[in-house]
Amino acid sequence: MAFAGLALLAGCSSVPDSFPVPPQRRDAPAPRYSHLRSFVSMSDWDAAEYLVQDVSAHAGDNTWRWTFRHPGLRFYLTSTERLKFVMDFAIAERTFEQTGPVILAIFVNGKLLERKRCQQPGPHHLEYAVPPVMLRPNAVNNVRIEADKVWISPADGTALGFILVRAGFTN
Amino acid sequence: MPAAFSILFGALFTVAAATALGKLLTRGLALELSDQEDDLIAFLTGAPLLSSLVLALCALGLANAGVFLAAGTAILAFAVRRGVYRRRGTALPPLDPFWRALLLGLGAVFAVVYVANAMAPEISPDGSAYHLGVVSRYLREGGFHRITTNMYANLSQGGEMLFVFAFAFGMHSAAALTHCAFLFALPLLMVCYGRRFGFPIAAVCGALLVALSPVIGSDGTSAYIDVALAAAAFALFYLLQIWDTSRDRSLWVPIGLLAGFLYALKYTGGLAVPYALGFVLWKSYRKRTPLLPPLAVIGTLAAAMMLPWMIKNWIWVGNPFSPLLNTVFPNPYVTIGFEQEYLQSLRHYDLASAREIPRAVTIRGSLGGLLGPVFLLSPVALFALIRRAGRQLLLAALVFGLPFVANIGCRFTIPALPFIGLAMALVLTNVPGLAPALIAIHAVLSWPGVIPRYADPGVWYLRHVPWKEALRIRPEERYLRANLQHYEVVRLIEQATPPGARVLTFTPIPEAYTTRDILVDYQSASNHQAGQILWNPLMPERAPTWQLVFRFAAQPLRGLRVLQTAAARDFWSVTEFRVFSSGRELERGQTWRLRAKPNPWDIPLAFDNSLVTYWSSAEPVRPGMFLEVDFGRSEIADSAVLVCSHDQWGVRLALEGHTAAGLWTPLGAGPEMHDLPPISLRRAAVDELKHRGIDYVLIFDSDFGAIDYKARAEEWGMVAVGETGGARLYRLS
Repeated sequence: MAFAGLALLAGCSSVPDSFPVPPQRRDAPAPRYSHLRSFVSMSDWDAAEYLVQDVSAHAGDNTWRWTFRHPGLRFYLTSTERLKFVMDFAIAERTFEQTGPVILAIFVNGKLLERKRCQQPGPHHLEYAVPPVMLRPNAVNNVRIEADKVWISPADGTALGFILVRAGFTN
Repeated sequence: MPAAFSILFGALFTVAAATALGKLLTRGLALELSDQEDDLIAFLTGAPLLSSLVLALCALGLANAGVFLAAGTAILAFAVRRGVYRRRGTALPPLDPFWRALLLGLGAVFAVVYVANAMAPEISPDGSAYHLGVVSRYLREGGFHRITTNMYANLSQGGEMLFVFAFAFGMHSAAALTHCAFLFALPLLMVCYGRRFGFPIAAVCGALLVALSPVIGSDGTSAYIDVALAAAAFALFYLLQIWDTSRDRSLWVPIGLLAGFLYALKYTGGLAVPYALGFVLWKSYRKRTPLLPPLAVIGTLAAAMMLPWMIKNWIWVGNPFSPLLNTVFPNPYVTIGFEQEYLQSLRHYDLASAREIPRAVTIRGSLGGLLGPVFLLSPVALFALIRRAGRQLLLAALVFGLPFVANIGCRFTIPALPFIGLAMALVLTNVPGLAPALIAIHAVLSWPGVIPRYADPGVWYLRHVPWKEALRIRPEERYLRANLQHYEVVRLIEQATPPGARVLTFTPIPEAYTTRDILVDYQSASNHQAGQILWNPLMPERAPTWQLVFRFAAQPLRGLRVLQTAAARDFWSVTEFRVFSSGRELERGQTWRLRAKPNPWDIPLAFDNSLVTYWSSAEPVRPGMFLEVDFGRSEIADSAVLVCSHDQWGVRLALEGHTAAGLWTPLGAGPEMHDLPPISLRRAAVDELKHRGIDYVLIFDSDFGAIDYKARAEEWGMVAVGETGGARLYRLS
C-alpha cells in the first residue's frame, strides 16, 4: 500500500504544463542570423529577413521589390574565399526617363567594391569578385547599394531606385 | 602507523556500533539464538539500524566525525550497560574436526589476502568513482544535498550510510574494510545455518565455495555493496528458516528490518520484501494462523527502511525510484531514452549470445568478475531439490538471482551465490571425498597468482597481497598511481582547478579522490546535454542545418503546434522554432507559453535563439509527440520554421494552428525542406557550457573529438591547463 500510495503521489507530481519564453541568447557568434544564406531571391519566402533598409516590404508579383535611396541587404557567409557578389536587377523605363543613366556603387561591409554604370533601362546583371579581406566568415555581411540618382515622385516625394530581383554571394 | 590505525578504527567502530545496535535488538526481543549466531545476526540486523541513524544525521546536516564518534560511543556504552555482550552459553552442534580445520585453514589464508586488500588504498572502479565519491561529498557537505547531476547519488544508499560512518574516521579504506566485515560474516553465518539445521559439512563446503570465489574477494574487499547484499539476504533467509521452525513472533522484527534494508542496500534487494512477506504469509496460511499481524509488522518495518530513500528521491528528483522507472515518473534529470539504452546494455554487455554467460562468469571473467570454474558445476544444485533445505535454498537463489536477468554483470550473481553454493554442497557432499577435492581445486583456482593462467586479461581479481600498502608502510599515493586508473587525472584536477570547480568529462574518473564537482556525461540528462553541445559542432549530422518551413495562408492564430506522426527509433530534436508573418519573424513575447510532449522541461531550448541548444524528445519518436507555442493572444502568421539537425530521418511532422474559434486545425501541407550552410558553433558551444556553470572540460585522447579540441582550442575558447595520463584538462575561457 505504501508503494501504491507513493506511486500515485509521484505519478501526479509536477510535470510542468508550460514554460515562458526564455531569455534570448545574443552573445553567441551570430546564431540569430546564421539561418540566413549567402544569396536571396525576392521570391524566397524569407526574403524580408535579408533586407536591412530601403527595400520595399512587399514584393511585386512575388518576384521583385523596389529599392529606395540607400538599399541595404545582409547575408550570412561561412567562408570568404573565392566569392563573387552577384545581383540581378532592372531599371524601370519610367524612372529612367527622369534619371537617365544611373551609376550604382556597391559597398560591402562599408567598403566600396565596385561601381556599375547602367546606360539603359531594362534588366541588368552585375558580378564582381570580392576580396576576402572585405568579408567576415561565419558572420553577417552587409551590402549597401547607392544609386547616384533616384526617381522622385512628383506626387508624394517618394524616391525610387532600381528593381531588385536577386542578390548575394556565390562562388 | 596512524593512517592504518584510523582505517582499522573507522571500520571496527562501525562494525562495533552496528553489532551493539543489533545485540540490543536481539536481546531486547529475546531471540533464541546461539552465541555464534547472535554475534553474526546482531551485526547484520544492527547494520540497518546504524544505516538509518546515519541517514537521519545526513538528513539533518550532522554528518561529521564528531557526531558519529559521540553517537557510536553512546551506543556502545548503552549496550555494555544493558549487558548485551554477556554470553548466553548456548552453542550450535560442533563441527567435524577435519572440516573445522579446512574452514579455519583456508579461511585464515584468504582472510589475510582479503584484509590486506580491503585496507590497501581503495582502487575499485565503482568504489572510487561513485560509491565513495558520493560518500566523501556527503561528509564534505555535512550531509545530504540535492544532487541532480549524478544518478548514482539517487540510488538507495543503505550501504553507503555505513561507509559514511567509517569514512569519517578512516577514509576510503575504512569503508572498504567495513564491507569486508560482511564478507567475513557471510560464510560464518552459512556455517551456522548448516550446524543448526543438520548439515554442517555441506555448510562448510558451501561457505568455502562462496568465500573463496574470486568475485566475492574482489567485491567484498572494495567499497561495493554486493557482498553486504548477499550477507543480508542470507541473514533474512536464515531468520525465516528459524521462524518457520520456532514460530517466534519476535523474529518478524529483524525479518522486516532486513527485508527493507536489502532494498536500502540496492534496488534489486527490494525482491526481499515480497519474498519475506510471501514466505511468512504462505507458512502462516498453511498453519492456519492469522496473516495480518506478520504482514503488518514485517511490512511496516520494511517500509520504514525503504521509504526514506523513496521520499528523498521523490522530493529532489521527482522519481522515488530514480534513475529507473522514468516512464512512470517522468523527470528532467534522467531521460527515458537513456534509461532504455542503459538497461539494454546491462542485459547484454558485449556478449554475442546468452550461451556465453556460463563460461564468461566462471572461467573468463569477462562480465566484470569471476565466480571460479568450480561454479560450472552449479547445475548439480538442482539435485538438492529432493531435500526440503535444498528447495528452500533454491527458491531463495531464484529470488535473489532474478536481477541477473536484467544485468548480467557477474556481481549480480553474488546475492544468489550463498544459496547456490549451499545447494551445490548439499549434493556434492554426498559423494565421499569429492567435496574436499573440489574445495582444494577451488582454492587453487581462486588464488591470485593462478587466475591469470585461465581467465581473460583484464579480469577483475585481487592481484596482490599488499600488506605494506595496507599498513601504509608504503605510501598510499604510489599505490594509487600504479593501480587506480585515472588517479593522476584526478590529481591534476585537484591541482589545476579552484575549489568548487565543475568539470565535465565523458569518461568516469575516481571522484572519491577529488573535491571538485565532476559531471560525467552519462550520469544525468543535464550532463549529457552539455556533452552533446560539445560534440555537435564536430558532427555534420548533428549540425542545425536542416530547415523545415511550414507555409500556410496568413491568418490570425492563438498558437501553433508541430505534431510528430511517425514511430521510429530516432529521437526528435528541434534547435529553433520560429514563427513568421510576411517574411518577418514574430517577436517571442512575454505572453507566449511553450509546451512539449514528451520532455516538457527542455522546450525553452527551442526558443532561446541559440543554435547550440535544442529540445529533444529524449526517447524514440512515436505519434502524438508535439511542440506547441501559445501566443497568449491572436497573432497574424503565415509560416513556421523549424531549424533542426539531420539525424532524425524517421521523424514526420505536421503543423496545426489554434484558431480564434478555439480549434486546433491542420495548416498547410507538409514542410518545405532546405539545407542551411553549416557554420562553426565551437565557440558558441563553449559559451553555452559556461552559461551552464561548467568551468572545465576533461578530454581523454580516446574521447570523440579529442584531436579537434586540441588543434582548435583557441577557436573553441578552451585553454589547456594540464595534461596527464592520456587526458587534457581545458579551462573554458
